[in-house]
Amino acid sequence: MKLKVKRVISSVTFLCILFCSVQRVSYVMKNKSSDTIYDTYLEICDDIDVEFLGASRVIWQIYPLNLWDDYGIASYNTAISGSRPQCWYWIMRETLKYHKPKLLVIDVSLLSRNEQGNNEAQVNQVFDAFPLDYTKIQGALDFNAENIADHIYNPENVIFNIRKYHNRWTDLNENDFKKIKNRMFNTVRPQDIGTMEFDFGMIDRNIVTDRYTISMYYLEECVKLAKGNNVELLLIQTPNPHLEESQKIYNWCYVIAEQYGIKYWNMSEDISYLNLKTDKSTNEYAGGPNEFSECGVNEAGIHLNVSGANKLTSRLAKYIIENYDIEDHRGDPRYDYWGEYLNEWNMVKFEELENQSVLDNYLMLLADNHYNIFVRVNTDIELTSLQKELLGDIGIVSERLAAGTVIFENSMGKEIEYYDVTKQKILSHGDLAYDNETEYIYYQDQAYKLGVREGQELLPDIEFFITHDEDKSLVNYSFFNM
Amino acid sequence: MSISDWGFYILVTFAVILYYIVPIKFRWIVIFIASFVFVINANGYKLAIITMGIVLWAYLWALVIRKMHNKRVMKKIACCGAVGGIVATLFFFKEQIFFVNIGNSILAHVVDDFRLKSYEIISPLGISYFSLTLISYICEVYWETVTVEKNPLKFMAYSIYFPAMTSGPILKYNDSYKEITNGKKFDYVKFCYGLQRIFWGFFKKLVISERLSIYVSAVYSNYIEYNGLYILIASMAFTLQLYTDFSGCIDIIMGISELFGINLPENFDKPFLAKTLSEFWRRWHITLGVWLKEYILYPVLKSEPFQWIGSWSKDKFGKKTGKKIPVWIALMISWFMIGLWHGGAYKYIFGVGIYMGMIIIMSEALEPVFKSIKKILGINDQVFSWRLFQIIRTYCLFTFGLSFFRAESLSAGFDMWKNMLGNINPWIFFDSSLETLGLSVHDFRILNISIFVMAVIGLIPIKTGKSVRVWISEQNLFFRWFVWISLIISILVFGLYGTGYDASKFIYGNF
Amino acid sequence: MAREEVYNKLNEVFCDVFDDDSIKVNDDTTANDIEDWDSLEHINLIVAVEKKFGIKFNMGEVNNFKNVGEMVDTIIKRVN
Repeated sequence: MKLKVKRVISSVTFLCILFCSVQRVSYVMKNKSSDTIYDTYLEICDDIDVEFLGASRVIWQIYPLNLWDDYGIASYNTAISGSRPQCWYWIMRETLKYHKPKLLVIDVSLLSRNEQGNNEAQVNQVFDAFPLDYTKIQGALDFNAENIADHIYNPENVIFNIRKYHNRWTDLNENDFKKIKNRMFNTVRPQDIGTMEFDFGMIDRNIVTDRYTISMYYLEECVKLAKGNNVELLLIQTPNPHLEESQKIYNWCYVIAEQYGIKYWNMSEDISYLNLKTDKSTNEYAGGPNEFSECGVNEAGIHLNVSGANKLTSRLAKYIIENYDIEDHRGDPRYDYWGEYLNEWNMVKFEELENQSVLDNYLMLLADNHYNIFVRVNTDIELTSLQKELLGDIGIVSERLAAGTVIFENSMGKEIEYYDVTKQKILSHGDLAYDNETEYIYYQDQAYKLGVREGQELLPDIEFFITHDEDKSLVNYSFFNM
Repeated sequence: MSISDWGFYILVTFAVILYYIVPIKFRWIVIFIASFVFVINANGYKLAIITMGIVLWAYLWALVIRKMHNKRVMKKIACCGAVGGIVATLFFFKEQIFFVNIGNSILAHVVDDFRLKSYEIISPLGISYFSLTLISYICEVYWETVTVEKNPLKFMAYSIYFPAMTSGPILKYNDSYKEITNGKKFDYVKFCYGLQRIFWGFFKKLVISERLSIYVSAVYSNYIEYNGLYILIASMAFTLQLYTDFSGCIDIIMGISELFGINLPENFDKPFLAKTLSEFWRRWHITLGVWLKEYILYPVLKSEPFQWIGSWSKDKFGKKTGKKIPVWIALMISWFMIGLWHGGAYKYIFGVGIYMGMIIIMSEALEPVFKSIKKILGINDQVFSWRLFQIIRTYCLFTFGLSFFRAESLSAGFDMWKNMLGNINPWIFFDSSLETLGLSVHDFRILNISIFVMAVIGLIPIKTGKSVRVWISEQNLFFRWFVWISLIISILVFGLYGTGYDASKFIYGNF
Repeated sequence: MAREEVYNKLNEVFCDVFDDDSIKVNDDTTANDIEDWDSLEHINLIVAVEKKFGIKFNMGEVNNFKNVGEMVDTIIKRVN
C-alpha cells in the first residue's frame, strides 16, 4: 500500500513538473507578436477607460498617448492589423475577462472585406498572449479553414502553439523570455507622404445592403457582447474612400446602431480638418476588380501618416469627450506612472525628427501641437508645391519664407511671426533669441551655432530649431539642403 | 489514421484506460475492439472488410487443416490452398503493377497494341505484415506445433493487433498469441518503461529521421546538381534515416504494447554493431529474417529437389563446397523474396534483395581468399581496429544496397552512383555548401548531438549488461526525471512535426 | 531404441556433417556449442539425421528444437 501511494505521488509530481516545463518552453518559443500588443495592456488594463478595437487603421491613426497628453484620456489600442470582425469578437471575449473599459470604440473599417483576408497568423495574434483556457479553445475552434486565407487553418496551432512555433529555437532573443513592454501602446507612426488621389464621394446613408455577411454577423455579436457586459460601445469608421457597394455595407452600421441604442460615427462624412495632400502615408491603394471580395471589388484605401493621425486623434478625442463621460486623469496620483509612458512617447517623437533626413517628411512631422518652431532660411531656396502645402499645414506662408527667419509659436493655429534678418540684427521671441551676426541661437542659457556641423562649411539652406511648448525642452535641431 | 496522427494516440489512451478497468478475463476484448476501430478508421469500410476477410480465411482454413490431421495429402492441399490464397491477395495488392509492367514489356516484343492494364490500388494497411503473420500461423497449424484457435474474435484480436498493423513486427503464434490475448495485470514498472520507449521512438523519428530526410530528399531528387560527395553523404544519411524511422516506429509499437503489458518480439538489435552483412540482417528487421528462414529457406532447403542438388554438387565439387551450393541457391531465392516483399520494382529486388544475397554469398565463397590475404598482409582479425573496419565495411555495403531502395528506380540509382564517382568534391565539407539543402547549421548540430546520444544509448547495455531503461531506473531521482523531461522537451522543441512537416510519410508504413 | 544407441548414431552424423571427429553431443548441446552449426548448416544436419534414422521431421519441429536433447526425444518417438 505504501509503495502504491509513493508511486501515485511521484507520478503526479513528475507530471506536474513536466507540465510546467512544457508550459515554460511553450511560452519562450511563442512568436511574440500577440504578446507585443497585449502584455502592456494586461499590465495597465485596470486603469484604462477607453479601448480601441479594429484593424490597421486603428493602429496607424489613433494615438492613445496623444489622448493622454492632451486630454488625460487613458486608452489603449487592442487592434490587430488586417483583422476582421470575427477576430474583434474574440479579442473582446479575451480582454473582457480581465477588464471592462468605460468605452469601447470599434473602427468598422474592413467590414466590407471578405473573411478570407484573415489568416492563421492573425488568429494566433488574437490568442497567443492569453493563457490556454476554455475561451481560447472555443475561439480557436470557432474559426475554420473555409473562412481563412488560402484555406490553411489548424486550430491545434492556436491551442497548442508549441506545435507551430517549436522551430523558433534558432531565432530566440531577449524578448522571448520576458514580458514585453509596448511603449507605443500598439501604434505605428508612418513617416512618409502618399500622393495618390481619391474620391471620397458618399452615398445616402439610408441605402443599406440587403446582404448579411459573416463579418456583419460578428460585428453584431460584438455589439451584443458589449451590451451584455454593460460596456458602452461606439462604432466609428475612420476616413476611407469606399466604393458604393461597400458603403451600402457600412450604412448597415446605422441600422444596428439604432437597433442597439449606440452611436455610429462615419468619419468619412467630414474630412475638412485633414489635408489629403499631406496627411496620408504611402500605404494607400487604388481599388480594382476582385472576385474574392464581398462586393466584387478590391477596396481602395488610405492610411494616415503622423500628421494625419494627430489630427484624427484630436478630433476623435473631442467627440468622445462631448458624447461620453470620460474622466481627465491628469493630476490623479494613481496615474503618475503614465508620465513615464508619455516621456517615452515623446522620446520616440524626438528621435523621429532626429533620424528624418527627407525634408518633406520632416515638415510633415512638425505638425504637432506641442512644437514651437524656429525656422531660418537662406534667401534663395525653391520649394516644391508639396513642401509649400506642408508648410501651410503648420501655418507658415511659404512665400514669406524667402526673405528670412520665422519664429513660430504653436502649429495648431496660434501666432506666427516672420522676421527679416536683413532688417534686424538680434531677434527674440519668448525664450529664443537669434543673433544674425554671430549666427548663434540662444535658448535657455545655451548657445547653439546655426549651420555649424561637422564638415559643414556653407550655411545650410533651411534650419529648424524645435522646442516643446510645455516643458520647454529642446526637441530637435536639424538642417536640410535643397 | 496513422501512427503519426493525434487520433491514434487518443485511441491508445482510451484502449489503455479501458483495458485496466475491465476484468482480466475480458481484457482481450478491449484489444479486439481497439484493433477493430483502428482497422476501420485507417482503411475505410471496403479495405477493412478485405482485411477481416483475409483473417477469417486463415482462421477457417486452420480449422480445416486441423480436421484433416490424419489425411496427409488433403492436409497438404489445404495448407497450400490457404497459403496460396493469402499470397495471391498480397501479390494482387502489392505487386500487380510490377507484373503488369513485366507482362507489358514482354508483350511489347510480340504484339503492337495489346497491353495489360494496371490499377492504382490502395492496399489494406499493414497487409505485408499481417499476411506473413497469418501464413506463419497456417504453417504452424499444418506442422502441428500450435493449437488451433477456435474463437474467431480472439484470433482476430491477435491477427489485427493494431500497433503491429502499422509496421510489424511479424508475429509468431507461439510467441505472441498468449501475450496478446491473455489479459495482463497492471505492472507499474512495465507501464513506465512502455511510456519511456514510446518517447524514445518519437525522439528517433521526429528529431533525427525527419531531419535527415530533408537533406536526403534534396540530394536524391537532384543528384545531377548535387553530385559527388553529396550523394555519398545522402546515402549514408538515408541508412540512418531509415533506421531511426523504422526502429523509432517499432519503439513506439513496442512501447504501446508494454502499456498493455504485452511483450512483442524485437525487430532490431543494434544493427550497426554487425561485423558482416550476414550478421547485420540478423540484427535488422529480425522478425522478417526469422520468418523467411523458417517458412521459405528451411522448407526449400529440406525439399526433395534441393536435397538432390545437394548430393549432385557434393559429387561434382567435393563435400565442403558441394554442401554450400544448394544453400546459396536457396539464399538467392530468399533474398529475391525479401526484395520483392519490399515492393514490386527492380530497385527493391536488387537493392535490398539480390545485391544483399550476392554480397553474403560472395563473402562466404571467398572466405579462403580473404584468409590468405589477411595472412599475407599480416592483419590481425582479433583486434579493435579490425572490428572497427568490419563495422564500417558492413555499414558501407548495406548503404550501397539501400540507396537503391530510396532512388527513383534501379537505373536512377546506378546513374546517381556514377554521378558520385565522377565528381569527387571534398570542398563541400568546408564551404558551407551542405547548409544549402534545407538543413541549417543548427540542424546539423542537433543531428550530431542526437546521433551521439543514440550511440551512447546503444553502448550502455553493452557496458553495463542491463537495458537502458533498467539502468536509468537505478539512478537517482533527479537524474532520472531530468533525463525524461529533457527527452520530452527535446522532442517538442527539436522534433520536426506540425505544419510544414509531414511526419506521416513513414517509409515502412506503406507495406 | 534406447537413448544411448541414439546418441552413438547421432555422434556419427555430427562428425560427418561438420567434418570433425572429436564431436560428442549430449542432451544440453545447442548450436552455440559447435562451431559450424549455424542456421544454414542446420538443415543439412537435419536431413542427415533423417537419413541415418530413416525418419522424417516436420518443419515445425525443425524450427523449434532448443537443444539436442529435444531432437533425441523426437527421434525416439518417430523410430518407435
